[in-house]
Amino acid sequence: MAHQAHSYHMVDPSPWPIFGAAAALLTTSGLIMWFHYSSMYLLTLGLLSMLLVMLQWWRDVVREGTFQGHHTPTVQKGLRYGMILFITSEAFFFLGFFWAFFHSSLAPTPELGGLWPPTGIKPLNPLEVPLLNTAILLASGVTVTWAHHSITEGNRKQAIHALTLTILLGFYFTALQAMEYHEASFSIADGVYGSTFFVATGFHGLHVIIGSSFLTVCLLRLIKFHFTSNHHFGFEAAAWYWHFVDVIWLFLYMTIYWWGS
Amino acid sequence: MSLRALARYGVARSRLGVLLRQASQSGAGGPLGARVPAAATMYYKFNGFTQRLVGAAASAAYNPQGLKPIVSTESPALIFGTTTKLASDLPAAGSFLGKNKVPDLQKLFQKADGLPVHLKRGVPDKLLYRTTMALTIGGTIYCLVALYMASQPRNQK
Repeated sequence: MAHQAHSYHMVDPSPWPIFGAAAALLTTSGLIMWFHYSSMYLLTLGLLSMLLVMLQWWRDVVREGTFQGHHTPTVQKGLRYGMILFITSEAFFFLGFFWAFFHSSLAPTPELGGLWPPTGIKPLNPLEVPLLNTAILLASGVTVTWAHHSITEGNRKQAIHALTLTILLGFYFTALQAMEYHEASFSIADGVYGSTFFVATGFHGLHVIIGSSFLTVCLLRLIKFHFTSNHHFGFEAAAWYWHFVDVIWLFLYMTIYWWGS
Repeated sequence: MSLRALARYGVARSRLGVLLRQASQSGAGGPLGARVPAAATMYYKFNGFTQRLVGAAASAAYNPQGLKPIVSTESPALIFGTTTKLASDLPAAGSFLGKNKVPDLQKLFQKADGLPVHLKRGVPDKLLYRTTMALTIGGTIYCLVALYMASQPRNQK
């Protein structure tokens, strides 16, 4: 290999962008076929190929970073900016749902009975399971920080324990939210209260599941010795994402669950 | 390669100092060379955010990525008195949850065989890649046919 006199990453030609685009076409067209003809054929094909592309693309990023040493400080800086911008865009995505909630709740229309929660809606008690969920997410924020400190100190065993605990807390949260949804006396079709409640908390739940998967990948990489005490950006990105999900929950809890009830 | 580029790769100040001193001896003695103390014992690394050199431990300066296990260049902590070590305190023969295969994988993935990263591991990679290719290309053709049929009028008399 020729000597490289700069610290940027010159990537190999990759099939994943075009295959990913094709998988997106199959998934969206698959949804159309499902809605119009109740045929799940194309949708299944789309989701399967999407999953394969995601697995292989991220596997290659791990190969480039951990096994080929392409993630120099310069490249890591780009990854950091990318993750910061991604999380910022997600923050604005949630801002939209909060906007819809406040638009409907600050000046309730006569159709809602002129009050919030609207007439006939029995909201969930914020001091029961939602408070427990708040405690769970705050605790998981502590354990993920514990895992980070263990990694920087080179204590792999304790990092594995702390990260496992974080992931378990994440799944406990998801299980409790699923139970709450099952028990709720209102549905997503129950007017603007149900819509704003289930869309905002539902997208948050989706992000918790994504964050838990991200942390699980980090746990597997930690077990496989991929992280060193001063180079573990994959873990840091997952921890940033996890804290972001945590903060969004605090806003959801304060506004929709507590003030909104 | 410029000195700045050397610093970017985390070259220790001691080595930079040698280069600078050589430069100052061969030339008229630049302003940079004058600032290097005779016994350079400090180490620097390149900070990606501030774009400046910042102080660092010797290990970080020699191995900015922290990928390779290094021989410690720092003096070990002083031991005052002796302690008896219990057998249970000694590190176990095998490490916790499997052993480190990263160095072997680094050798495998850095082999100069001309293969792109997505095919570097051989047959399993090729199988996965071809499966994905078949699904996406086949799916796209099927999808276009399905969309064409769906665009036709439902009842033709």
